[in-house]
Amino acid sequence: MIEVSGLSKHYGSKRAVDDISFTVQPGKVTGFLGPNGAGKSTTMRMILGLERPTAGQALVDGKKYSQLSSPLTSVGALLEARAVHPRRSGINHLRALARTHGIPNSRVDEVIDITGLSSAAKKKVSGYSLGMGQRLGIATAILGDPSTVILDEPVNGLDPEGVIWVRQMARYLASQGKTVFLSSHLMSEMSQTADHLIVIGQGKVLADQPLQDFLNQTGDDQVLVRTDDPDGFAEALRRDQVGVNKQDDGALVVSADGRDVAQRAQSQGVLLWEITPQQASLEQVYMSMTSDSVEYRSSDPNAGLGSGAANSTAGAESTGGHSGGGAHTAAQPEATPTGQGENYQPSHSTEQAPWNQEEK
Amino acid sequence: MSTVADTNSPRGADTARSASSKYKLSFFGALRSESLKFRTLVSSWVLMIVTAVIMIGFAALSAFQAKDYADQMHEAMTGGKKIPEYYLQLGDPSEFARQAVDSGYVFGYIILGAMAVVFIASEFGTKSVISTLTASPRRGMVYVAKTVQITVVAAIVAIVSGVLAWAVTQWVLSTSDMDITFKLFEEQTLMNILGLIVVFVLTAWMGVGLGAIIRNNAGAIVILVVLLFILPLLLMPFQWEWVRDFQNYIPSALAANLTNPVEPMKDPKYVESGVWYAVWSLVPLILGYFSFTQRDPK
Repeated sequence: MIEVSGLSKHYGSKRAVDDISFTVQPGKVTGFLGPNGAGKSTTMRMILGLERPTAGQALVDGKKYSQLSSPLTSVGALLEARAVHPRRSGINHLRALARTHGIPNSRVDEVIDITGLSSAAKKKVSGYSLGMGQRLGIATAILGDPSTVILDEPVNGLDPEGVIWVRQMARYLASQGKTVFLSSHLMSEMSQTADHLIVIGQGKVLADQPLQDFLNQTGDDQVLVRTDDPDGFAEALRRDQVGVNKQDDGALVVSADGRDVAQRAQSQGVLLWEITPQQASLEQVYMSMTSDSVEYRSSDPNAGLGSGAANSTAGAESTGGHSGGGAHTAAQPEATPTGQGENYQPSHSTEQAPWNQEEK
Repeated sequence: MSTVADTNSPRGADTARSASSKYKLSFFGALRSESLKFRTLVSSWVLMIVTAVIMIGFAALSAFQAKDYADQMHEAMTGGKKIPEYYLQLGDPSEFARQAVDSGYVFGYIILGAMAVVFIASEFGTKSVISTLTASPRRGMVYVAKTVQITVVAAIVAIVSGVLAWAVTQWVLSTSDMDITFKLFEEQTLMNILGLIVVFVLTAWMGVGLGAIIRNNAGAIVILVVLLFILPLLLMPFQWEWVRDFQNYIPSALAANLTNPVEPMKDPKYVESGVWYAVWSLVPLILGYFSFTQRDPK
């Protein structure tokens, strides 16, 4: 178990981490979400004793990391996949770390096999691809079969098969009663892996709750309904002051709970042949929550692409209420519990949007 | 990626768990880790071999000069031939021949010091220090383990290169018309090699300390070279008496005393030279300890 209490880290006047407290429980995967510069890596480094806190403390199994008698078997960490001497082979890197605790070479061979690095283990790390480096980092993290695993952006650079493998491993470790704490900027990844979320922005904890509660906090109930007469039913709902949006495919997203919508349809004599409760996507809730906490804001990528490109986005921006040029990325997909219109995603999708497949 | 992971069974926990509690972090473990790290870099072996080759090469050249001097002396005594003027200041040929063993120390100790710098500073340059300190979060333990490792290496390089330099020297000197060879196991030779060990070990400590303080290979090596090589040149123009006195206590002068087979007639002699050279080494080594343990790695 990881216990963080009153943890702060200041660099001069900048508060990278500002008095945060949370507990990472064993037996579940706890996701650590936040925009770039939010303080995720700094927090993880402080837990591992690589940064001295300005205030507060971080304990692993009730002790400071440096006071653990067997750090490698207590905590396995992947902080920077390339934290390896490039002129040393992967197997020798692992053996050197194993030597500190007297872990035998057979265990090193085992984690190399587990992480699929057998064919590259004897090559110098300088020749590794990003994905191979990431696998070596994960091999380092599980070397001591630790009771707590801390992974900072573990799926960065991994191919889809590797992403699935990391997801399965995180779930498996948690199922074995281990504490699994991982950060990722791939929110769809979090939605498939984490049981619990800690959201951090500008050094402060913005949310610390189960994933489901996090997703349910968008306010009004919404349902997606399909009917043979969407226009007529939508008009009837509007007359009753019920929020409704028609999708491109004819479906209606109605701001009411399912029973209420069904009753209204029945009273109107309208046949509904689909009623699906809607949930905001993790991306939407996250972006809504952290929109004021992003440290690095991007300008509109279309702004410099000429008038044609700018014109093509003007309509979309006007419906979303954003002004052209200078719109920051966090605000772009902002959650709008009512009236999301065409931007609305019915639930947290298993598909990754192109923008969140990129490396941070 | 061509590598294939076993996605169906994300093990990683099963086999080692039952035995995990018996694995503890220890100083001996940290030392074994540092030893393996040192041995698994090609650059370590290259620098050690270069140091030994330079020491042996200079010993052979110096021995050849001593042989030539002795031969000229022999011819002067037996055939009345005149000795070249530049040889007249060299004194007894057999004593001069003894200087061959450590004659390459100037290059040897700089290379060895640079190797010590790289051993610690490259951890910061490559960020591998993050892996190191995650496995061994007791930073003082890691620093001491690194220092012990480099101490052992420096001592071994000094012994091996000193003994091989002696052997090559004897082979060259044995071809002389005069008997100017000398034994390994006699006090003066052993003291000469001991001096080399002291110089190499203390220089390695200096390198470890500078590497830990500067955390950059190039920067720390430049400072090392200034201390060991450039400092006498910087002081040369100044003729104040205190500067001339100080010149006897800078690292290059102290190392010259310690590697001299004949103990200097005036201060600093062997012991005093060793103490002052230790001061030059321990100051950066101790400052490096505080830097390594107190400054967080980036």
